Amino acid sequence: MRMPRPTAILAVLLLTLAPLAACRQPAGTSPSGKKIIRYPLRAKIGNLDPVRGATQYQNLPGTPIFERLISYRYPRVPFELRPELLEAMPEVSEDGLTYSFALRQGVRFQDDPAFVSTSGKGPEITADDVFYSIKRSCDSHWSPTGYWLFAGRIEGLDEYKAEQRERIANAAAQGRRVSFDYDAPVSGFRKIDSHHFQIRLTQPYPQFLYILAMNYAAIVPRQAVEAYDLEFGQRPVGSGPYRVREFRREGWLTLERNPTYREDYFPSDLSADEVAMGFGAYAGKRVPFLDEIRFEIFEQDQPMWLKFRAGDLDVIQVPAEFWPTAFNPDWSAKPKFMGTHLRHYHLPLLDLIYWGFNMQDPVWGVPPKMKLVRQAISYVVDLEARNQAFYNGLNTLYLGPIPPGLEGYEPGFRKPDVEKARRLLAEAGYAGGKGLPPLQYETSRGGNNREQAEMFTRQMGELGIEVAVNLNSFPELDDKLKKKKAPFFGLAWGADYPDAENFLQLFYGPNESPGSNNFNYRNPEYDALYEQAKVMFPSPERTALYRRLRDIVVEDQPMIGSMARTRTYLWHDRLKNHKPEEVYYDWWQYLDVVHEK
Amino acid sequence: MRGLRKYRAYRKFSRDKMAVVALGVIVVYVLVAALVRLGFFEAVGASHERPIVADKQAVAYYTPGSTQSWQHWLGTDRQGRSILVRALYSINVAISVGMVTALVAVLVGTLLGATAGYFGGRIDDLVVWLYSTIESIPYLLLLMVLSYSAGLYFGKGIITIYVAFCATFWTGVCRVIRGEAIRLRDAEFVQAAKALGIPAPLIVLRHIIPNTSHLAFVYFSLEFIGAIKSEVILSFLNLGVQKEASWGIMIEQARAELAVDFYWQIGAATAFMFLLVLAFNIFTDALQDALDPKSV
Amino acid sequence: MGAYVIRRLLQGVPILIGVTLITFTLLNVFGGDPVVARLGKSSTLEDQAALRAEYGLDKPLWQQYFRYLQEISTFDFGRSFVTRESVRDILASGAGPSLSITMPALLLTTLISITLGMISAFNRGKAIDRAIVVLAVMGMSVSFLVYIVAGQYFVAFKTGWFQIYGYESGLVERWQYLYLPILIQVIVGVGYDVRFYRAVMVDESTKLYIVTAYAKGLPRWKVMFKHMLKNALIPIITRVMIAVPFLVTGSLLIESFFGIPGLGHRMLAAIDEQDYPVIKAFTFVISSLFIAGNIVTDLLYAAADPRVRLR
Repeated sequence: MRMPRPTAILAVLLLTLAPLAACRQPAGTSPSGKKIIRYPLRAKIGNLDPVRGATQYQNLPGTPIFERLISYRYPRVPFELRPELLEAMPEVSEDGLTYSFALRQGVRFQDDPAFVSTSGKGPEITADDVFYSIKRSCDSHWSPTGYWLFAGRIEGLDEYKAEQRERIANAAAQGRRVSFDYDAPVSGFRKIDSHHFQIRLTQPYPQFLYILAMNYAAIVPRQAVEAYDLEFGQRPVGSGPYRVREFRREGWLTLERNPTYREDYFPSDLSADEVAMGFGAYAGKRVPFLDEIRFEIFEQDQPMWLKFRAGDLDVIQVPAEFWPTAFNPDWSAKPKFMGTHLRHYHLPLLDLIYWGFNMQDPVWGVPPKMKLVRQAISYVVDLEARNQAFYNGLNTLYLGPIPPGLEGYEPGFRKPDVEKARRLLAEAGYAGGKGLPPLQYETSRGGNNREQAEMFTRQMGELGIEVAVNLNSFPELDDKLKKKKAPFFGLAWGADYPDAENFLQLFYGPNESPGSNNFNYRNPEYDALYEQAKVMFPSPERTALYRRLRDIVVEDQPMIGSMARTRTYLWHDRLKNHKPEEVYYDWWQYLDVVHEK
Repeated sequence: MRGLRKYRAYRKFSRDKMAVVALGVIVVYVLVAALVRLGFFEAVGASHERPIVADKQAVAYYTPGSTQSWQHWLGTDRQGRSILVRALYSINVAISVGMVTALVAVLVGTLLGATAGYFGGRIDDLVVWLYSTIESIPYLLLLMVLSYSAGLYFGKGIITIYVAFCATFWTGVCRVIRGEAIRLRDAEFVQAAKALGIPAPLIVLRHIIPNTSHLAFVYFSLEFIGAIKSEVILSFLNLGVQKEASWGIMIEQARAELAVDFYWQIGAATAFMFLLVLAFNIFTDALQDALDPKSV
Repeated sequence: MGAYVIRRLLQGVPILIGVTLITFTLLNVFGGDPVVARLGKSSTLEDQAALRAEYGLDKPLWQQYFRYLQEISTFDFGRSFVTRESVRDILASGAGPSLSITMPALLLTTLISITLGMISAFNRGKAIDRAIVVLAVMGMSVSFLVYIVAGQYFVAFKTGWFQIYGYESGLVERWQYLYLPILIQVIVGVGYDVRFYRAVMVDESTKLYIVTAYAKGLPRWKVMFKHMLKNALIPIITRVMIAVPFLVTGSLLIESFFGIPGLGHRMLAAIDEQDYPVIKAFTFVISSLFIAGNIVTDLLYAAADPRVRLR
């Protein structure tokens, strides 16, 4: 064998190092002068198929690709709905059961090679696409995650799902494979013509329009879905202002402007507040403004923060650990950190951070006297200390399941009272924690959950109750919750839509695991009141019912808490029209990036 | 003859000053681990999970180190827990994992290796197949999958780590001992023992295994380092210990602290781990030099 | 030689079957139920059953195992549980980014280590030798994690020399993101390799032919490069070839901490997400490469050293 000559080695070395010249590029522009936003995501995007949307990280980047029938009016607070693919908001019949919709004329899906019959040209959106899109959430082939929002609500949809399931199971038993029949009718879906249709509900559903505004209900083209099949989540096609250019799950998702996006304008009926926030200059302008959206995926906070500070990202959700670098304890920004080019916004989230018990657990849930033990625990946890240590004091503390900003919320939270906690524990017959097994505490790993669990363990030590912490990956935690194997758990619930019903349904008996009631809580009184409230439109009577439901939960203590987070956003001044919002993500078309000349 | 070799090795080793110092460091670490186990630190009022500072004000702020009190030498984390105490407690986990893994790995590896090498045939095929299979999977990957699956049955924590490490770490020892056993099989004294009618298992135990002990020593040390380093990585990834303190967990927590210019925790974890691993590396080198000079 | 290769390949088959048995047992038999988490916040038992059927997990274990073997033999590997992508596509798209870190890193590590190893061996016992050995041992003793965490903060952010995190797919654009991960990989690797190559060179330098070469009055560098390196080729080849199959997998930690969309990163995610098809396919591919690598190593042995005979 010949020896490599030193010159050859040198050549290889030089070749390796040559691209050093390609130095760091400033964010926001590309060599061609395109307007680009670089937006960090703190978790991987699994799949962009809207029926599989489960987390913020899935829905947020998928939103600009698709459109829904209805959306929210950006940047209005409090929330207001607007028609998106519809001509106008739907008409609702007297009995609140029949919704009549009229689709906008001439809205086409994005051009895509999957549209073979039109040689790549995106077809116009019709009523059939709407029905198809909703039916998909019944079909396990797509691993859908949003069916529970429609279950028992749309006339004939449950029956359709059951029939199709049965058909597939029967065929499988005979060794055949068949798929869902999307042409089979659903009695509640009525097509009038290509652009007009009705949906009939089984009972009034005051939150129905909110559901239609969620990404689960985004409208997708049947031809493209069937052409790409399971790959649709990797190469989605919608009608939104942006379409996918490149998707690398561990790295980034690049969206580019959809050239055939319908004529759409920045709202021109701005309120005084909105004008004051600087939106005035854009009123009535044609959207979208950005040429490209580049989502960058981070699995760690540190590099994301460092990249934002280096100017390589346009915006960031400030990770708690770094918050004190930029803000004072009174939430004001540090001028030295902010300089002249950074903007910030503290966004209160509609969410619920809590600890929960499995009420079917033979030790901690079932015996009636354990109510006292659960109450004792609720008096020993120190939410303020937790808020200070891990959330920079940004969270709003409250009691019960209804977060601030929603109907039925009442201010006030439970301060620790160790004496009372010890008394309650003694009353239950477990003075000093004697006779109680270790509390098995299941939570997810990541973030500072380990430290939070350590703090909880210490606080429980004051009662003499031992805690065995298990840090799980999300799938493991889900598995334990949905199989009722987690006696005690720490979780958060973010609002799917701005109505307290979304939080109250977490305690409704029939929703027990694997439904959304992870507590497996079942109280006939609660269930009856909830059933009464869930068909009611907003009214003082409903608010009273919500409060009553809240009080029952506080008394029975299937959960301990609560905190609602406040998220701080920071962005570079070059990013315009940015008003952070996490209940909906349908605001991408309004953002702009402007570079100082 | 064996005695003489051991004596020579001992002489050679004890002349190597660095190695003796390294051994001293290791002994100190083992002693600290023992003290942690015996609850010595609890007795003097230092526990890795309780904050030293009682007042709430201290919570949420990192305190840099000071020599005011011995517990604060390296400062506290934001829960007010002493970093020094946590770093000391981490020694316990590191030494326990290292010890258990190295012991089990060497025991299993030696027994399987010597048996396979001496008997050959089907047994040999089986053992070689087993370790070749395990070795052909990247070890960090195998460890992660193992600790995931084992965690479902033994609960997450140190037991799972033991199971995962013990199941994988024996292969290196086994491979080497098997080679040595094949060589020894034809040695005169083994043939003589055979001729005397000594039963085969006894030959393996009395004649083969003792003559491979120099390798077992070296590998004990190597596996010890490997286990410590892997434990830190798994704990860092939250697949490792849960309740106990570990350098891996400290480094994981410290990631965020860097950006606010707080270096005490990562510094402490790194330094404590560095010293132990360094000592072990030097010790292993010297051991190898003394016992098995031929190996590269 | 052809017969030799075929025989060696056949010997690999039981090992590969062993690998499939290990992963299948760990995941399909002892692993958790991967279905529930896919169904989101709220589902029903019927939904779980339907999805289990969709994933083929409702079948008896032996049928699942045979399906797995069938998939492997056709290089199909099925679809990811999490993203529903074809696992083959995942493997194909992840190999490039992994290789763009591991290949330069291996090359540099080997070159630097051999050079340092030779310098050390030639100055055996002198200060420079001791310095190199001590540095190497120290380099090995620092945790990989510390290099990553500190490197990102001090080397990339504080100085602004390197990109902190990220990746781009262009062949040129990607480079700005690669320097730091490669650097860290090299620093860690050199610590291990220097000592190995030093030992090899020390061993070689005591051999008779070197002594003879010196006796003939050949210049020192010539002895070093021409004679010693050539004879030390076998251990070098072994060392490098052992690393080659793992080039494709990349480094699990480096990739996920630097946001490189390579296979190591994907693997770490797959374990976290219970993405069994990905874990199984990945393990199988790596093990196959490892076995193939061993065979190639032996062939290279024979090529490098005529004394070695393939049997």
